[in-house]
Amino acid sequence: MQTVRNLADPEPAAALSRHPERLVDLSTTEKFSFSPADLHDLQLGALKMRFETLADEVPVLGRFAQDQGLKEIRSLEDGALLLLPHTIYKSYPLAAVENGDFDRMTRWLATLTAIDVSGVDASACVSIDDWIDLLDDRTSLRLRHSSGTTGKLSFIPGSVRETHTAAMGFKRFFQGFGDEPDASVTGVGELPIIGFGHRRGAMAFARMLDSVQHHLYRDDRSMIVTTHPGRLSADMLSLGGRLQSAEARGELGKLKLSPELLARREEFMKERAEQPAQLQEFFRLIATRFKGRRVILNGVVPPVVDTAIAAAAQGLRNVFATDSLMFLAGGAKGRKLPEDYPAIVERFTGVRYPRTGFGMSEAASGITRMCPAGRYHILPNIIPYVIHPQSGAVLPRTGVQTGRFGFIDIAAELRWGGFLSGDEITLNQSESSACTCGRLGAFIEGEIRRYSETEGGDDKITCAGAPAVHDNALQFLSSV
Amino acid sequence: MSYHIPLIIRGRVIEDRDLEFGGRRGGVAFTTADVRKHLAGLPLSPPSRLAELHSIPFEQILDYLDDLGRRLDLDNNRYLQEAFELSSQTSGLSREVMRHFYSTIGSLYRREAVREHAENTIGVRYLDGWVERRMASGCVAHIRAFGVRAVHVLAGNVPVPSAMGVIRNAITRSDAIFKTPSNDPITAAAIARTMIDMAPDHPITRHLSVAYWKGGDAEVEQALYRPDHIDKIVAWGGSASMTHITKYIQPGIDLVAMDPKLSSSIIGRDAFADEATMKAVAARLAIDVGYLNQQACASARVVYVQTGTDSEGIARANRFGRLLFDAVLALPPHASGPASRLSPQLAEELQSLRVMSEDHKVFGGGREGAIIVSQNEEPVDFAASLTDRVANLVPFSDMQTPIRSVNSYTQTIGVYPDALKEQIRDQLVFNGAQRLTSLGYMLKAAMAGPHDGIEPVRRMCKWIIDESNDPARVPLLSVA
Repeated sequence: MQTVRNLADPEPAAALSRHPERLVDLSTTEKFSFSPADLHDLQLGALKMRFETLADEVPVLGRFAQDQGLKEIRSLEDGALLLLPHTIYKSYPLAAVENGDFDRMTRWLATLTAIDVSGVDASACVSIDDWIDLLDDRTSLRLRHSSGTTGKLSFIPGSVRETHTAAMGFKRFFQGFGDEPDASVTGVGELPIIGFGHRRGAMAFARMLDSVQHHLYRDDRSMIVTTHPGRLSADMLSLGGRLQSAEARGELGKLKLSPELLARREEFMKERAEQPAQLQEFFRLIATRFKGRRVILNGVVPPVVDTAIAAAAQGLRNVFATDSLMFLAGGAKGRKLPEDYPAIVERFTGVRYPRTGFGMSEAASGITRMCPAGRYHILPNIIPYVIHPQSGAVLPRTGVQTGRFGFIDIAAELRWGGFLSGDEITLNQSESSACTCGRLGAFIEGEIRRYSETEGGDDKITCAGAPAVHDNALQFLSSV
Repeated sequence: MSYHIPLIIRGRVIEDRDLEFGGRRGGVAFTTADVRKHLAGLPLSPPSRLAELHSIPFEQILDYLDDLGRRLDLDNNRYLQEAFELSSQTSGLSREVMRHFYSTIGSLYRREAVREHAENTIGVRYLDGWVERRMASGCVAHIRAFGVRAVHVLAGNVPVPSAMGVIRNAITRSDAIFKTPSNDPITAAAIARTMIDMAPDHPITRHLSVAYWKGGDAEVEQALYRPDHIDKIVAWGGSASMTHITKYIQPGIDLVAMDPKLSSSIIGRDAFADEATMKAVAARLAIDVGYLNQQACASARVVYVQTGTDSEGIARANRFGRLLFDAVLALPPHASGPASRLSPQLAEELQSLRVMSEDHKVFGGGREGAIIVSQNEEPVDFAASLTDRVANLVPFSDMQTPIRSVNSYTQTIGVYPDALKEQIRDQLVFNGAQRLTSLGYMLKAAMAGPHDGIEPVRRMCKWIIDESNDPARVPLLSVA
């Protein structure tokens, strides 16, 4: 089916290329109905605009472009030279975190964002959590961090403005395309959200819920219930990672634990001790207040499966209304899951296992739900690239290409949206073999795989690796 | 390109092509027989067959190895030529460097070299027969080093482990099953085939098996790693592989572990006295950094330089960095050359430093390698992944800084000048160092010395004692 873009209130492509962040407001049908030529022009215009605006405001972009010998953007291909590797977001010296030198961290952060942080005095910060809270308080930055499973947290300088794009991305996730049954889906902004993970903290999951609560639920906290109401501490995650790397640095690397972190030990221990009770409280809530209700379920696959297994042990079955919505970010994230995990989730929730989402925490708004034909279509605010895993050369932006996934999110306004992932994808950009679902534009077909450490870096921003690291850190803290 | 590698069991060459390995992402594919079909014949049975090795005088073992060494001649040995071709493609080292390796393999087998190795690591008389030792109690003991049934899990970054494995197996009069690595599945087989062509029925030929299976194949390993089948596992390198093997360690199976290690250098203040000295020291250090493209465990990665850390000191360190980079580029091609490609992970770390860091100065950064000069006393956070001629100079003032950086993963430390080495060597050892060398000689390992703080060759033998007591001289029951 060829769908022609037909907007009730058509926003001219020229205006969208000046304000590509508005792409996230479009309906799913609108997003995937751009003709290839229109999308090309829109993206190229937006890319030029973002580069011209941000090259002076985001120091890393200017230097990166210079390092690559790029002066101006002439084509979409030029953008492939501006994909920041994941190492950029963790290029701060670990010693700064260890020594509690958060002014040094702020100076580092300043190179990644157009937001002015020069007035921030972080000298009183004693922990990463403090530092993140200070930045939340004094600036429009909304820092997001990774799980640090490879020893070092990445920090992505999100912003208040991105909270809107994130919320819209959440909303559009559930919306079908064209005449698909869920094209006119309802309930987002009204139904309670049941989340699988820590409600508070600065990882993508908690930040997303913050955005959704603010923009779609008028700040009504009662509308979101999670398995863990507490905070996933960046310090605990960082400590877990540092434990691994400290051993490799001899006596010099001996963990320097600030008295403040040690002082919070009790708090962390208490948190952990309370987790089983919290989960029980969660089960009690869903079995009473939410029993049989239509809700929105939200999580990444491994914790959802873990919770479903724990729930099954307590005899909780078919808890929610069958027409509930489910936002499930795909992938086992390195975990080994039981073979029949979709059925386990279905038995627990009473909801059909959904088509999962694929996205990147590094994008401002990049999550896309699998289409009925089983493909992940690339959102119009994402310019996709396929990079040769060895040579680093960009592969032609035509036909079917397999390689490392890179993208530029033109919806990112105050930081550079270019990112080179560690995922191997097969991208179909062929105009002649459009997807049977009717969506226009490029899509990912087949399996998405991680390149191994040696082939291209492995610290993907994932929430699923977190609990294990967190536990190690607690164990360590309890032993000092 | 596809290769075929036979399975070799004690002189028998099995040419089946049951399985294909490798080949993904531009790798080299090879076919081989399925070891699982030959599991019954793989362990030595009965173990008493070791006797045929123990009746050969040591001088005849030397004859055998010396002959073998002459046949391991790259110009005339087609097995070795094939191994050289395949390894040139899998190793990541340049063809010239690999040619150097394969051209010099034979020299390891020279009579004098092998005799020195056996004498220094074990003592030839303990190998050749029972050695009498009189004890204070009056007991007359006879001690002999006997051969064992061993599996050697080989490393494949260079052909040396395969070549040395054959020598050590022969001098200890053991029965070895070589488990070859996927990055060099062929060199050990090439040597074994040369042995079969030379002396098909010789006991040394008949006590070597060479097999490839995927490391971690439980069907193979559970069947083989049992005390009734083998006495020892001799394992080289590879953290994952080592962790995996420890599962099988149990009473009756001994692990001789040559763990993965990293090495560094310490350069004292004298080196920076004047430009000429700096140049000479840089030329020596360049060999430790660049030889074999820094692929060996003994290669220098982090180099501590006592230039001081004030602005003059940092300037000296930067000047030294420039000299070192030039000296690495000037190494002869058989010793070192530009990498076929820098690992993408490392390239991205370097790129991040270049565009993000005020604390580092980077010389180079492409295929030719790079010298990173820290502008403070901190090594880079990715120090453990430095390879392909990328070294990190770390300026310091207080000698305790480098000493305290040494840890249990440290192998070699190259020191300049020798007088400094003598001053600090005990302290280095207490922190974890296992081998100390003059600067420029880190990769010129004394093969006839101890290895990694253990004496692996001694440990590849069973040390048997026969105690004779004459009741006339040693009372049967001591009176308390």
